Amino acid sequence: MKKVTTFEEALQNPAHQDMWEVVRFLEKHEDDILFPEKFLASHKDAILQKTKHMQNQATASSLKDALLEILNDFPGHVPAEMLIELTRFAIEQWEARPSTVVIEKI
Amino acid sequence: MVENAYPYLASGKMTQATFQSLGPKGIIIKVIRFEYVKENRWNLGFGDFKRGQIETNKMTNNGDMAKVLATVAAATSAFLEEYPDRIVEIRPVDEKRKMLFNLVFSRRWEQIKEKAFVFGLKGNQREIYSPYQFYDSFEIATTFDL
Repeated sequence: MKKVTTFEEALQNPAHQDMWEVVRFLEKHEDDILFPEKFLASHKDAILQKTKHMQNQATASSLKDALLEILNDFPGHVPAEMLIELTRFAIEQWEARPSTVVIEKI
Repeated sequence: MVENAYPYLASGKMTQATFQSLGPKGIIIKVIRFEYVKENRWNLGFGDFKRGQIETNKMTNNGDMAKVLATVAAATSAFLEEYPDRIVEIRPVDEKRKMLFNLVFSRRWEQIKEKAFVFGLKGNQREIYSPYQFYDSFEIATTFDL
């Protein structure tokens, strides 16, 4: 048996019949996120870095500006429920950032 | 490492693959996916296909872990050969897998370094992979400056 067979070849070959269900499943869900925990972890790391960067660069002064900048980086295929979770995470991170305002004693 | 891999079925775009693991628990269908994150970054995910869905949070223990990981390595290598401008992220979902992946990278480092550039991440700190360090996650690329 050769090492790599394409899905297309497999679906036409009865020798691979026991794999047809998974191949059809994968083809149907080609553009979906099947490993959401990894996907979310990756974006949460990106949000953490972005929040830190924005804080250092002072590119965003309000939560609205920060969210717009963070959400602008998201790809178009993020499902709504993940977008909500990531937006919530971004708000938490932005609000939890250390204050950059130094209060001086008069 | 990839010489001992199972034969696998791959999608035309090489972003998905599936194969059968053979062991004491019988035949288990495995799925490998490279899921688009953003820009040139893709997440590696793999799990079992059972009852019409993917199970990601169980260790199967079918007695063939080395061969399963060799197959994942082969699919990753094929993906990066097809798309040399992409970065593959490997994020262990639990501590067991974190241990496992660190072990695999350190034991197979001599072979891996011939084919790819690997970065290790501790939290958000990214550095060139060292087999003497322990990492939270990994990034693999075929070009160093990605």
